[in-house]
Amino acid sequence: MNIFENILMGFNIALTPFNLALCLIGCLIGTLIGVLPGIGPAATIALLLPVTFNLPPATAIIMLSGIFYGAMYGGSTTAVLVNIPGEAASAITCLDGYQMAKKGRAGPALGIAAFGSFIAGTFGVFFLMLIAPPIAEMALKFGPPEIFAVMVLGLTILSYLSSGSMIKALIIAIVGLFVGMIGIDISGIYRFTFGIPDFYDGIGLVPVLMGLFGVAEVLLNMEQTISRQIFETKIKGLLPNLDDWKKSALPILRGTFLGFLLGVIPGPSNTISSFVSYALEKRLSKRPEEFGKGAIEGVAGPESANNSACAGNFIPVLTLGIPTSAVMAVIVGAFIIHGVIPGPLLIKNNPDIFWGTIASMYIGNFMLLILNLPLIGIWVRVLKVPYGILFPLILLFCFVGAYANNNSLVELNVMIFFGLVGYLMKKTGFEPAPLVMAYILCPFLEESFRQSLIKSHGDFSIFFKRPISATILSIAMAIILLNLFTFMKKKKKILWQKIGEEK
Amino acid sequence: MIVKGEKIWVSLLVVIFTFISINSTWGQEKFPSRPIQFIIPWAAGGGGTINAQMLQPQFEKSIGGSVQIVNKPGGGGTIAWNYIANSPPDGYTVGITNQSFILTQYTTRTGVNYKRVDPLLMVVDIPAALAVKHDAPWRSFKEYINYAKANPGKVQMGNSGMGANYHISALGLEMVTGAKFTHVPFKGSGPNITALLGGHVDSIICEITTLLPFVEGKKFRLLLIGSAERNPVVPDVPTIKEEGYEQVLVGAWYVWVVPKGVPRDRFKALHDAFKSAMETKEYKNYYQKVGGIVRYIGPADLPAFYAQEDKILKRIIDFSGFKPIE
Repeated sequence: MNIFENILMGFNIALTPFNLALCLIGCLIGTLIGVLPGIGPAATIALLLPVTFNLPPATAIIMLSGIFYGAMYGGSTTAVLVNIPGEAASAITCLDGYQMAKKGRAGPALGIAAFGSFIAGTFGVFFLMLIAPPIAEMALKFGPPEIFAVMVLGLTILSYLSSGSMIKALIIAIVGLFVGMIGIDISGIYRFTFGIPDFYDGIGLVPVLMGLFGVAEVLLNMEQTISRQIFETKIKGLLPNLDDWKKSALPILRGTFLGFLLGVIPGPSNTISSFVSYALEKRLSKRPEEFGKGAIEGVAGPESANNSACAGNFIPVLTLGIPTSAVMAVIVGAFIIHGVIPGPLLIKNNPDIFWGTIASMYIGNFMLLILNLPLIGIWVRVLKVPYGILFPLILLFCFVGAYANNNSLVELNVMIFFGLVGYLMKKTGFEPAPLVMAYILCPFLEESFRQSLIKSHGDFSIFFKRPISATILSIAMAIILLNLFTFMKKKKKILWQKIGEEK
Repeated sequence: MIVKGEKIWVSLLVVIFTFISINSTWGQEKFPSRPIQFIIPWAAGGGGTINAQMLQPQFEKSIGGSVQIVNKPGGGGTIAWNYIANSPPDGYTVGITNQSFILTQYTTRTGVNYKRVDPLLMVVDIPAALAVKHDAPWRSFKEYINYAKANPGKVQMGNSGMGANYHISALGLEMVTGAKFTHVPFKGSGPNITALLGGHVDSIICEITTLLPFVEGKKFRLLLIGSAERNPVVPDVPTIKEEGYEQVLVGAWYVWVVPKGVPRDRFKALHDAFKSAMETKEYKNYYQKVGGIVRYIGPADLPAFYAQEDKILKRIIDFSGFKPIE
């Protein structure tokens, strides 16, 4: 069997002591930068690229990709502990992870995130190995109309992202769409940039996230007298118990498949997959009211999804040489620097790199699990740091991260602004998740919509003539109708109750 | 073991030594005495960063100092270019520019102008090419352009953003041939290439380094190349001149620049270090393999080169009526 020979060759490359050591270093660095908010894998890989100049290409790629998936592991840590998403993909983990930490269950939250990531990561790599070329061909069928349909589907799940008022969720989603429109649009028109060049490419995702979640949380805690109630509740257990596992098993499985499929589609698939997984789990759950108050499924599903999306991300890069995200662009750059030209011929011309990287991803995922489980004990102790020290430190990391992201002071101000916005939103009962989701989807929604209409010379039937986009759009429509139906039923029930009370 | 009293002494010593070391470098006025910053106006991973990384090792050896590569993306490069123009002319800020550097004076209102910096040298010239899918019905540029002329608006031309370089190249092609395309904009060259791979557009214009892997992988075919001579990596692709048209396919060249007013000796040191870096075997081999032409133009001839590029771009802009809309 050819494929087994190939895998064997891959492990031969990945298991040499030198490559193992560098894989470990990559995973360590990745975990670290995942934990530090703002400092993302793209910047780190770019920074460390010169260090790998003298390494053989396969070794360099093994180390650099270790940083990438290591960061996906680490990203959830700060989300759970202090409500700051270490990576954009972990934003949704804040919702339930942080609530779990508040109830003294930071350990199980971090534990299930690590296990979920491991399972999803391993399966993701397994799929990547088996079906990379055919799935890459399939992903190419996603042109502008199909991407538009996917984005519409994404918007329909907005209602699941909030645990409070539906109307408020929709209002804040519209604000998110507005924020997403700032910048130069695809026809070169400047929108709401106020002449600030830093806004031309849109408002940066990282400062928005850190502001809405992190800074807002610090501000909110500042006004409370330091009661330290969170930390005095005993930290119950460091690992997920049997009940946690029972609740999480299916979400992890679903998250794995979902993340992998969405990971192949161009766009911010890591982030979207985690949001979609959260919505899916809430929809399927028997007790959706617990979501947003510390449901472990709300951590397990999204964390699995964003890790298998990582593997999905690698498919367009390894099979076609097309980066689907900023991190992948840097990895493609790394290939080129090492004399490997990414493209359709990569697997044929450099099988050692392709199979070596894949084998190292198996090993790397295992290393990350071993690495992360003992760390949980240490992380949980972070919560014991007094507020007076912890919060200034959080702010410091947010500031450093916001600046380091693009070396721009404007982004720092954006973060502060959204920190205030997030604070006011919390005060008035609006939740940040629908805003973030709408804001991330908006540019892709608009772009693909306009590209489709340019292609069809203004004919709207393009969305319904193509089988894939027609199918996805009908699913979206069905979800909307279903929601409307349940909404009406609920209203009717309340109305009848009121009539009953009046009688 | 360091006991409490010693700790103070140790830290005091550290402070003193740092002071001495800073002072000594001030005294010598040696250039460079701190890292030289290479400002890249685009996100990490693109062609500009790769150029910087290719040059870095020999540049450092030659100038006897270290280099720090700083990616300052945003505003289509304009943030970084304004930053370079406004930096102190001490030789520690060096930036990379490409054809967009000249184009943005027409397509944005950011005040970027190539006359506000001093060019050091051109290090590589990467021609643009016109690509179609490998199974496209057109076997030659003539067939393609005749079809486009006979069916105005039927051929869909992807670009990496309206007003961005290859949109302007496509407009230039319309100007000299009289064809009319439907321009479909994408954000960046990655999505643009994906669109052609999936058959969502009919053709794209892009630099050859990006297209070549897909040509070798039998996904794309090149119909035309925008350079004076045929390219050794694709010898069977005709140049635009051979097809009887003026060269309007502006490619991706990289010119390194410094703020105006850098002292002559430092300017020369930077220039010489770049020159020696672009003459290494590794650098030449890389660009030879991917279709880039390692071409040197010195500081004396660059203003004329800039002016010539400016003239072509100005004509295309005037022809198309493209204006920055605010």
